[in-house]
Amino acid sequence: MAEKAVNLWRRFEELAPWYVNGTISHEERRWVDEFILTDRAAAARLKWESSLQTRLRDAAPPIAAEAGFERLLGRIRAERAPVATPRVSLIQRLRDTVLSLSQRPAFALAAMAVVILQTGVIGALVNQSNEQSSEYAMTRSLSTAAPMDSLLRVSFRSDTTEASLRLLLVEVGGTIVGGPGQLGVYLVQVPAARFELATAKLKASPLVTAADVVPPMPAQP
Amino acid sequence: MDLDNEQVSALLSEIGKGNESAMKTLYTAYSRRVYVFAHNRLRDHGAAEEVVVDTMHAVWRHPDRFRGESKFSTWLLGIARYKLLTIMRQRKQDPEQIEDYEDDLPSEDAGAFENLAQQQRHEGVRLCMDKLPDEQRECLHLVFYEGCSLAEVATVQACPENTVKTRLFHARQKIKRCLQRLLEQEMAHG
Repeated sequence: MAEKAVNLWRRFEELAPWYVNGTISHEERRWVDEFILTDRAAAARLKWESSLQTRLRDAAPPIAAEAGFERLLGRIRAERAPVATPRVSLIQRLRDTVLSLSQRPAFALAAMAVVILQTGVIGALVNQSNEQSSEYAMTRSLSTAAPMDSLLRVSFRSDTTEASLRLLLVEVGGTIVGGPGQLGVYLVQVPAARFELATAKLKASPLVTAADVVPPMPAQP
Repeated sequence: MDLDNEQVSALLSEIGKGNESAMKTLYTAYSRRVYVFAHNRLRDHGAAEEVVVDTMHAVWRHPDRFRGESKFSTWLLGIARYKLLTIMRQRKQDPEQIEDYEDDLPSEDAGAFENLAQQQRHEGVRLCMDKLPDEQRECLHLVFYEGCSLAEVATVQACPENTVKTRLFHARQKIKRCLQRLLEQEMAHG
């Protein structure tokens, strides 16, 4: 008799949480309903479990339904946008060529070095001019597209991966709107309201070798 | 706002096409539940929010992986659980646990339960929940907060149903004893 009572209680205890949370089957619900009519302790136990459920639900921490969504969007958009890989500049190519000549006979190397050096100097001058003119063209074309006080000229380290570059841009709220130029410089637009903070963050980043404000274009006559 | 599987499937189909608006709808429908589930385990707002973003990001990347064989929330919480376990492994969390008590008190006394039901408060429940082992606390959360069935809890916790029953039994015993002691302490201090 006692064993039967123990077994009945065990069955009741096993079913109680599912009765309270509403996932119990109809048959089992009927069984519990009949059991608690005959056992006051069981009825009290059900009441306690129901109260526990209420308290657990009430104790849940408050959080807005959209909390974190902007971060998710940032990740999604960062994954989507393509990034052009920095092109190797003329100076870098000349440097690589000189290094590869290190095995050649000395006199040929010396002669070649003079020629290359001269080419390098000329090339640098040409590049600088191109860089400035291409940047001029880029910023000019943006003069109607974006407020001119929100542009930065940014150079990244040559070993910067696309993923880390994208992540940095998401963090500062920046968008690449131009580049890379011959020397691997990008034009990055940041929201005007975050300009100072974004500039500071970019300059402090180990991925960035330089970050300069693009001076505003003179107004067109 | 709970969506049925058909509504969810429609949203997932749109998400598969890159529809951010559909993602937002799904996010606002389920993020809070994922957050509470993660917070219950991690007890850290920042980490819990990270789990939400990671989980929803996984949905964005692979919306086709939900096949409708379970409730969407069950599938989602399974992903969230995986994400939070990764965080916990990194943190090597080791919660203080309630000691196991022998069943030597007449705990099934109707009067004791009635009293407990009336007196237990949110803070007491939260304190006692915090002291449970992670798996038991999670089990209680799934049963009483999420309203999961036995099969659903077993799916989320990736364990047999008998293990769920055992965890649930011990968790409720421990919570009950913890709350009884809190009540006794309160009464003793007037």
